[in-house]
Amino acid sequence: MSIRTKMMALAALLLVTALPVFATGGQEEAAVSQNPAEMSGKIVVWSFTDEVGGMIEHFNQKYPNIEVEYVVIPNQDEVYLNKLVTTLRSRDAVPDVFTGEAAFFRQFVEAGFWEPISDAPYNAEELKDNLVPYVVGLSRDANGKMTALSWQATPGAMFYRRSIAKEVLGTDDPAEVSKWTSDINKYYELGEMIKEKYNGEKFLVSGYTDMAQFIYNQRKVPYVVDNTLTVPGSLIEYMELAKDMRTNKVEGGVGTWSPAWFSGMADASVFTYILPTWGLHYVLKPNAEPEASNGEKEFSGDWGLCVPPAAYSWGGTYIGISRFSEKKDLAWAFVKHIGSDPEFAKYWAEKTGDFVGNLNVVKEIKDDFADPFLGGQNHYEYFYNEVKKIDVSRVGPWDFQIENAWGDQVELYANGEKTKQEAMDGFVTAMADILPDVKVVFEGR
Amino acid sequence: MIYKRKRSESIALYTFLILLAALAIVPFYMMIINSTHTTVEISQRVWLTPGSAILDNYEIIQGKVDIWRGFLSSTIIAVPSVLLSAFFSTLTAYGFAKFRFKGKEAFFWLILGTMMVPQQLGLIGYYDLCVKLGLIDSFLPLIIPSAANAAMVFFIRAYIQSSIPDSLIEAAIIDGAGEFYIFMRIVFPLALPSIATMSIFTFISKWNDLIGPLVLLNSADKFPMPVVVSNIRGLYEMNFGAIYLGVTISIIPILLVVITFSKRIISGLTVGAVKG
Amino acid sequence: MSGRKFAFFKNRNNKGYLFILPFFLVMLTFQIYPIISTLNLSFTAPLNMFENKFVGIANYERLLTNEIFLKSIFNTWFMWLLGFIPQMIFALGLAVILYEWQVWGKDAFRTIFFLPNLVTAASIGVLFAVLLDWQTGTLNHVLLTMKIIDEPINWLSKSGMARGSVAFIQWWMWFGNTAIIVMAGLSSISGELYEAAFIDGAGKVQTFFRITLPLLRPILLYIVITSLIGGLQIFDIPRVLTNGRGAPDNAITTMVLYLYNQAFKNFNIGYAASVAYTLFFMILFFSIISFKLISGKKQKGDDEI
Repeated sequence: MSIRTKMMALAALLLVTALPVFATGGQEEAAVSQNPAEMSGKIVVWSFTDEVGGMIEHFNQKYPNIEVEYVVIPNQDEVYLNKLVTTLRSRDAVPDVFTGEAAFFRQFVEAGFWEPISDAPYNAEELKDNLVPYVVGLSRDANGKMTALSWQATPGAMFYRRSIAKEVLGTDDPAEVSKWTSDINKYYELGEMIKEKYNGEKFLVSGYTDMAQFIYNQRKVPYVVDNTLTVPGSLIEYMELAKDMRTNKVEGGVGTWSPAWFSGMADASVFTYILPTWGLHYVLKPNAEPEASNGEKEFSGDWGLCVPPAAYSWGGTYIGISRFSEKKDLAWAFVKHIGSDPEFAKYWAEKTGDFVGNLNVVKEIKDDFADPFLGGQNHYEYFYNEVKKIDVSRVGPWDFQIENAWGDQVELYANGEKTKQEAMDGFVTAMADILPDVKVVFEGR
Repeated sequence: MIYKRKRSESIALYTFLILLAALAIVPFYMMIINSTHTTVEISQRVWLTPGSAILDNYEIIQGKVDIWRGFLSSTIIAVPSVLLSAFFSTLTAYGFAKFRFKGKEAFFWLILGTMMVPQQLGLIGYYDLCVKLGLIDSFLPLIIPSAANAAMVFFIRAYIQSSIPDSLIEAAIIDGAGEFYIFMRIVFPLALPSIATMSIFTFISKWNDLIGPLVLLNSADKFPMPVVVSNIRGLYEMNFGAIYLGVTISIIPILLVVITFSKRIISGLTVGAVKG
Repeated sequence: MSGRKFAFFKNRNNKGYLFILPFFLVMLTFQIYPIISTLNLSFTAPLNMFENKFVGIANYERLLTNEIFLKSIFNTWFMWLLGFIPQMIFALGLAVILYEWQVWGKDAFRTIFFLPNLVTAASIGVLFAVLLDWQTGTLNHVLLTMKIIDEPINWLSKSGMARGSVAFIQWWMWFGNTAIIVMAGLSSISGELYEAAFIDGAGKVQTFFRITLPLLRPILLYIVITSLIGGLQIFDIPRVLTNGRGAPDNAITTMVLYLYNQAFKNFNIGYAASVAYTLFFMILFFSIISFKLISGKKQKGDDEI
């Protein structure tokens, strides 16, 4: 057994180190000499989101002879990860291109699932000046090579119901509302005002968990450094905040992504939703005003964009070439087109309103946006300023698991099922299961 | 019927049965009702009366997936699986029930043992195997293993043991019947109630299997119903109504199979009592 | 029996090998490889998402001292038994009622009781999540309207309630299915025996315990063992109810949910494989015990299995 396993591991290691060498060696000249119309063949693209499906048409205008077979596998219950990990473990040549989400894509990068694209024949470093710097930075592997691109950048915002703002604050002006929402204490105070005004039938926020993203983004250093996980003070404060909000009924007690969370968007029972760029177009609009989203009605314009208590980024989809693809030249054409082509970025921004990752394009178009859903507010301008604030030097591969484990304990503390100490102990136990070799310490203790 | 019931007993009995039936049917019914409501309506409360969104939900489905193709794929997987498992399980069960050979007990525990390893990880190894056999993106690896259905062998074996007397088989041997003839003409028909019972379960589990097809099939046009239904849910929207409509559509064939087969079981049950 | 005849019978018995051969061929081709590869994995630790290193039995050592895993063993047994015992009682009762008694609408009842088994756990889970949600759920809505409670109860945040919900759903999904299996078993019991018991003056209850239950042994054995195998692998319902988290505080994390999360959320497939094998031996051990308990003294020598 042991020898066999070792042999297998060795063989795998050899294969892994050798493959990229062969692969790049074979394709160098091909990628240089071909022009888009001459490239032909079929590539398979896997993604957990159906967005990519809407991009193929534009890609085919430039590359008419590359057929893209696109398969969507939603990551509900981790089935996308399940399929991808299973496939790549057996070094299958399918798919040629696949996407990864912020929550887990750093794992892909560390495992080397994606082909490094910094060097020839891809030379992605030449593209990076036009792209949002943090997006490029996050795709770098341990050797500093870029591994994936993204069509979007995902700075965060807060969206509010104008009608509630008018009744509670007497104004729905974003600048005035932001005075209340950009500071966590004022935000809480506002929550109490809303509770009083509507006798507890409307809420500041659907659930305190909505705030998690900007709270987690406040950390100054990565969670894990030298095998020690330091829980930042901001996370410990979050426990108290969550408990206060829940006990005082300042929040609605609804979990993010639960059915009730979605219905709160439509039935005007919730004042704010804390969502990033994609959240506006793919979550809030279709769920808050489904008919207007389909173009069957006009938007009511009852929503506005205000400043959250802290800057954050949330999510983001990356797209890269599978290291086992046998058609890396075609795969790169697709990745490059979607991840950097300015014409595509412009087309995409205009089609969906999503905040694109090509800065030149953003600068060009940002002044002209006026979203009817937001009562004519320009969200693009706002996001352009926010995207500069994003610092990704603190991002690590296990952030998602760490934050989830912390969130579980916060919930237990907030519901009064555990004391603070028990919750912190519970987190240590949970982490021992995810990162058994890592020691957990709490900042300031 | 041996005992006579008092009126009060009858009332109690039917009350109990009807309450239980309601409990079984209500959530099931709500699921079907939900397919006629919008997502927002569904997430607000539970509905007992139909809504008016069924066509909208159907449009959402059509806009996202090809549900009828999923229907076809599911049929291609489930029907041969049921036939294979019915035939081979009965064959194996008969071998265990009516023959005494060396190592029988060990073989039997080996069969049971395959059920005891959780399948969630087995897929990783199974995928590797299918790569080696060149069977990725093919229906075959989803169908052929049904020929080795441990639970079904276990059940039919117990049934054959208690309902087919040895004397019947011995008589056939004396009449000069061949082994396969005996199996096909005597054992199989007599075991039919148990085969039908198990076939229902096999059909349901094959029809509802999500993760196996998802991992082993790569082409979207081969995805069966459960994968198609899970694809109705977008990444960021909930589309509950459309999902429930998808689930409802995918229940129809199961319901038909259950009704057809349970007729078989029931008729089998009434004539099946052979042995004392 | 004469020597020649004995030899002949021995030969015929050996034909049994031919009947079970196709099964084993398919099993060897398709099932053994994954099972061995899982075993292999259980001795490895991940270097990253797809490369492993050999670590001997370290995974098993870690497992047996792991608080959450030990808790998941308790949870699994607790929720399984909480659902299985009533499931068994209802199945036996219903089977006797619907098979032996004269009941109007038998066929309809039989089909209706089986309905909950038709739908995937995932669809059921979403439905129950809406029912049990503490702010907007129907259950709280009804209780509040009837003034039974003043404050909405956060059902799924209480470990007892969460476990109870899982057990209830399991019971709900499976009692009709089990009843059908029992009915198939009842069909192999002759009516003459009941008449004899009636003549001897045995009551309903006595007949059930003296005649029905003992003769149902092979079927009961089937039900107990398959339910043990399935029950200790409970996974879907706890997963959909809690979004895969086993919350609150792992109160409904089952062994297989733990395994799945380790493999596909924490990307430690080797460790997950060691969970799979620990579970395998546990199921095997308890299957053998139930086998011994239920088949009891063997009545006719060797034909129990």
